[in-house]
Amino acid sequence: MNKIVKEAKEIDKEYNTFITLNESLEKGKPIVIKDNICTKGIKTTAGSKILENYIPVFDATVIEKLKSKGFSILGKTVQDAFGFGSFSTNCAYKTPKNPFDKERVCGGSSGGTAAFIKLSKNVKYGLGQSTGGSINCPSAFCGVVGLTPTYGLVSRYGLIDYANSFDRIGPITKNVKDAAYLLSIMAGEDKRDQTTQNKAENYTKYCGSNVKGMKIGLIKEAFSNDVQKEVKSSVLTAIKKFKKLNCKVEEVSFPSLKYVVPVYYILAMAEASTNLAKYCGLRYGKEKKIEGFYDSYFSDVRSENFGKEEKRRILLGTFIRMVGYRDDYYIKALKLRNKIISDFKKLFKKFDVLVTPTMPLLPPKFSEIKNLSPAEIYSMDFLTIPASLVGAPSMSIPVGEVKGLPVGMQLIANYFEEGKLIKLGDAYEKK
Amino acid sequence: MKVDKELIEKIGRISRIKLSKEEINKFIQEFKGVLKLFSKIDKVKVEDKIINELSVKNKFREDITEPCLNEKEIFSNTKNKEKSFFKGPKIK
Repeated sequence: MNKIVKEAKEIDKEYNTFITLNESLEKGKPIVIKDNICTKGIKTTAGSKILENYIPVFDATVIEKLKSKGFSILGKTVQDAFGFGSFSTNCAYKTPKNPFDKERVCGGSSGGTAAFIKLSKNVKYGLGQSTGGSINCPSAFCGVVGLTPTYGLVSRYGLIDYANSFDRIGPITKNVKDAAYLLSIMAGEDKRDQTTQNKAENYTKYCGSNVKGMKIGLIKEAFSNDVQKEVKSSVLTAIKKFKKLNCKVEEVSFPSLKYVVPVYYILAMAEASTNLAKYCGLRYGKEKKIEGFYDSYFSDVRSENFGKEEKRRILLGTFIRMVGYRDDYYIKALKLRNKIISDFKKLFKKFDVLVTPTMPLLPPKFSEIKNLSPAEIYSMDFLTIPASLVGAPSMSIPVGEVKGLPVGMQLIANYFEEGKLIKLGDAYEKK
Repeated sequence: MKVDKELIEKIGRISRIKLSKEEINKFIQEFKGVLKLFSKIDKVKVEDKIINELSVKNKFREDITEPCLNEKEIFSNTKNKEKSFFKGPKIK
């Protein structure tokens, strides 16, 4: 057996990283792919039971592009069903374990990719996908680099959608240069995704650049008491490195941070509930013998195959859009999203990059999150949500360990300024 | 706002999710918690503007016929087909 496949099998056995492992791996640069990105001839479940038997007959645009550059798919990685989760614990098949401590979570929802990239000695390239932080969060919890590109830089064609106005595909790698390399291949306009823009660059050219004089804004509210003190001090120590590299670091206030969580979850759930309406046992995905009337057939297939979190988000998303509630929730949240975008744009008049911790806590133990309510879990996303709402690019880079666990620092830039994130991230790694 | 059995059942019907008694009771509690979290936006003042300010222009393309998936590919993920049609449940 190929040594790459052999290693992947061993890692999978111990850490639960794959839904599908491609044992007949072809020659080429091996890459692992989050399971919600369609791969021709390879099962693509989005981590949900309702797509347990779905084998796409086409490749997503990003897969086409990677294959044309000599990449070969090693496997499809474990994730929260449809991306609904912050810890990779809402998985229909198996739950991935943290590379630093198997009793702890990997972060979600691209947990399988992040864990595998950390653990593998042979594979350095992975793809994740983010709606509200699903690239940056697991990257922080697994001690790897995650890059969430600007909305519209990378085609979503062939991505199984969660919330279309948020979803983004991005690299998860061992270092910034590899992320820049993958992004250079994937970026660009695609006629099959009308939201893409012609802004692609060769991002590796930003590695090794001088960062002297770059203006970094430290978001004050992101270092509040809601963030564990070990995480805060690691990120603040990392920021000192930027000062040594002659960057200008200044504190800045972003007061809307206190309500980004409800705004995000209202909009994301509303979009998710409409996206999941198409799974009803027709054409593809789980189905049954056709019997009876459509109402009971659809309801049976959906009730039997959606997991708890999928049902929760469908119900809440449907409620949010119902007559009588829509104006107070959905419409109000749209208006607030607009306000948050304006607030961000103002900050970028003054700063090149904003910085926060990626997650407010060290990777928790499974036992510690078991009894948390959904509202408590959603609230932990407050640091990755702002850039998600705005559609701006962001990156999580590892900034050391506390008690043997990794801490991630998040950098956020203005639209299509991935270059600045790569410059700073790469300079930090090399310092 | 009152979150009760009737409301959850109604939402379940609209979204075609059948719920057991246990699920309904659990969702009532969870809904309350999530709606409390959502209520943080109640008092935030905001302008009457809902357009996303991302300055994206509309894109148009010519409507040109191109080859698409063949019949075998189209039906490759279902057992419920008849001739060249997907087979579905009765409407009424």
